[in-house]
Amino acid sequence: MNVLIIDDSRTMRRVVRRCLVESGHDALQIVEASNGREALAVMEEQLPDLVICDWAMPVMDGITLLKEVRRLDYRLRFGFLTSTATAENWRQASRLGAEFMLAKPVLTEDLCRLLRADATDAPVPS
Amino acid sequence: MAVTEELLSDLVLEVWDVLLGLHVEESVDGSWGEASSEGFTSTIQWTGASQGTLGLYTTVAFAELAAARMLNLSSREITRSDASDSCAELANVLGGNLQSVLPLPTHLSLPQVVTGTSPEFAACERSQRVVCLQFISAGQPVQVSITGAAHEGARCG
Repeated sequence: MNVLIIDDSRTMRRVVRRCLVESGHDALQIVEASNGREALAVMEEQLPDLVICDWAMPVMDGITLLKEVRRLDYRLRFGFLTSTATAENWRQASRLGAEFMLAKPVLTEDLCRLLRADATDAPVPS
Repeated sequence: MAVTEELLSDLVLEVWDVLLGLHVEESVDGSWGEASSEGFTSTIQWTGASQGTLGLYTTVAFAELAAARMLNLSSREITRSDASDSCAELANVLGGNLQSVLPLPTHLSLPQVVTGTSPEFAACERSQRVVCLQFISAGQPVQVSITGAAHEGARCG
């Protein structure tokens, strides 16, 4: 599985990477980007299977990136890992097909659930 | 809902536990010590139906420890950039979680980090319109302050 982690915080990218690696999932390939624009450049090279994206970032934020992903008709699983996991943000994101919205600080167990291709219990704000 | 000291304290305890795996306790006996110019102050501001700033002050030693915990590295491997970025992320997570109790609409800024103490930190000493809590974590002082938001029962330290 190819996973793209997008966060302007290098620390958070490394935290998420570590959690994913420690999940023990086989054949995990992880790529990072620090904003939406960088992520689009990554996607042009190779589409990831799963995108874990921050909400607020400089240059291009997460919801703008998701709109671009839909406009370009990229087929991938997309969700947010954000400190602002509010109901309003989730309404916006889910309308654009986001699958999950995890709140920071994130639990490793929640990230592990995302790695299941058939995840139907992906966390969303209530 | 107002930003109360209890709410802020609970939030700090949760974030420290989940993100850092560190114990933190409020310092209520004046043993907190002096803010150092060698520390980091991270701030995140919000605008919208209300306006305010969350400030997080930590020592360099604590920032390095926080980065080491978040990155699962030894303190020797931590760069100043790692320490600064970790402080920013802590403020970001605290601010983001506060958003759920602020009146809508609320827009959060990106976190900013400065070396030493920020104006928001200094404001804690002189403003009556502030929630300001001082903690001890891993033997190091940590301060979290809110300026500009509606709150109940303000005090400093």
